Amino acid sequence: MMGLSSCFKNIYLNTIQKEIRNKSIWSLLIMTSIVIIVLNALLNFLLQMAGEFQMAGAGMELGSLPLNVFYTLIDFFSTVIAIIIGVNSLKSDEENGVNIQMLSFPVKRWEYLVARVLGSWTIVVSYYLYSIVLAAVLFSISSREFMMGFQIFFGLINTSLIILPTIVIAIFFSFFLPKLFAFFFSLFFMAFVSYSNMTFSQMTYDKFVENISVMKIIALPIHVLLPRTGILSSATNGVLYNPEESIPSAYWFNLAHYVVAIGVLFFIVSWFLKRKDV
Amino acid sequence: MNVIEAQNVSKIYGSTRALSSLSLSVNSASVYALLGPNGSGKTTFVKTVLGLVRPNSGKILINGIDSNDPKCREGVSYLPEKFNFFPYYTIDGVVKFYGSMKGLTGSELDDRCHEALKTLGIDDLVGKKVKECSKGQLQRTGIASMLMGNNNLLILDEPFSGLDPIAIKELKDLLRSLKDQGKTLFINSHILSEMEKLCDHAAILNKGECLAQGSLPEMLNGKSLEDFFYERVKQ
Repeated sequence: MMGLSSCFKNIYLNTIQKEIRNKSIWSLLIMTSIVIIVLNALLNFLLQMAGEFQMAGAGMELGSLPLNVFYTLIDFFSTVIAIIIGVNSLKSDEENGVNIQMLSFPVKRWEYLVARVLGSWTIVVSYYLYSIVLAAVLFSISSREFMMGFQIFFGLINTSLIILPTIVIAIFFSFFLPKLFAFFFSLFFMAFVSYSNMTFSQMTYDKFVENISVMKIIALPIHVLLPRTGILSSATNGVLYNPEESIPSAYWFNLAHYVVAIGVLFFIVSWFLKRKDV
Repeated sequence: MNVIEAQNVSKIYGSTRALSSLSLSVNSASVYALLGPNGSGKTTFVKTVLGLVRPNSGKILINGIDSNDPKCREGVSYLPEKFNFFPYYTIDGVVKFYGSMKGLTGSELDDRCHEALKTLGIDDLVGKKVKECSKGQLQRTGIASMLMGNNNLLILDEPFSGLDPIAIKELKDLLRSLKDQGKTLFINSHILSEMEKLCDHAAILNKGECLAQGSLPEMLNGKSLEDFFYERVKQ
């Protein structure tokens, strides 16, 4: 008797096989590699010219700047790739008439969704891992300092967490919009999620009421209901910029919020998929 | 025992009534044809059986299990109207994918794949990519994929579509041999001449409504299927 797990495993592997052929991802991977190599050479040259000195006002050493630049760049590209794959994930099944065949197997729709999301997630995390290791290795060589420390590991964990809701949100928009619109809408939406998180992470109730605006009214439910990717990203930046600093306690609360919110997000998207005629 | 049992199934798309209180029963080890002109609701009904489309009302049971439960699709194979797959897959890759989705692994998967490709006469196309295949080759690949796994209910939506006369004859022989093996075949088609020779039960559908159904000899009462069909649809 066939098990449901064989369907899940096959759809997961099929997602990787499918998305690994995505030309946009290969283009971004090549572009990232070139940018990392060129930036590293450029920053290395600047470091040699300038020497180690304290950046007035910024409160950090110029020596740690390249890694932060690389991290921001890779973080952004990871989000773009997550959206490209997310939008393509179920939409390409629809375009090739494969969704009908996949769902005619004894697989639950939520299993199909989770298998597609995890397959996509694996590709994006692999891209991130490759890029961050390349950046850290190059920077370690040029600075003669070992850069594969805790902050890289912390960045990997957080980015992996950020990628997951990004893919799910892109899939959700792809239900209703053509690919290109879904891509830009998801990109805009994820930027708005970050804005919402940054706005409300430090805000008290009194301050909210005092400076109430339409944007804040829209941003509040997003901050409350969706995984706080903006806060996770900012926690990573904090650790990368100041490796000596410990992880803020609010991070753990937001991580717990993430677990609940990602569950709710999966539930909502899965509910829509379940009700969709294919 | 009824393999498929549909009770008052209705489906409405916007202002179009695709299915109107359709009820039918498909017996085990029979060949059941759902006949109707284009746009009569045949594909919608098949999709409803497979849980791909949610009916507005009514109920469908497959082997006694509600069609909303994915478990009902264990032992069911489906050939869609226009079989297609990801363009970069090879023909044997597609068939193997279907086999692995049905829980086959290792040498059993390889052997069954080889057997299915040989049965459909496409074993010489191993390694050929989906994007390089003709419509007929794709259709044969779809049928070969359907043969993977031990499935007792085979649902075929317009299986003769895109096939040349030789392939149609071979497919009819294959479907007959599957029937002889005790499989239940549920076939959607508008090619009446082929279905008359193949099926033992039929239903005629037009604009989502069932115009007639039952055992073919009883239903036709000496008339040809073509005449009977024309008479009913034009009424």
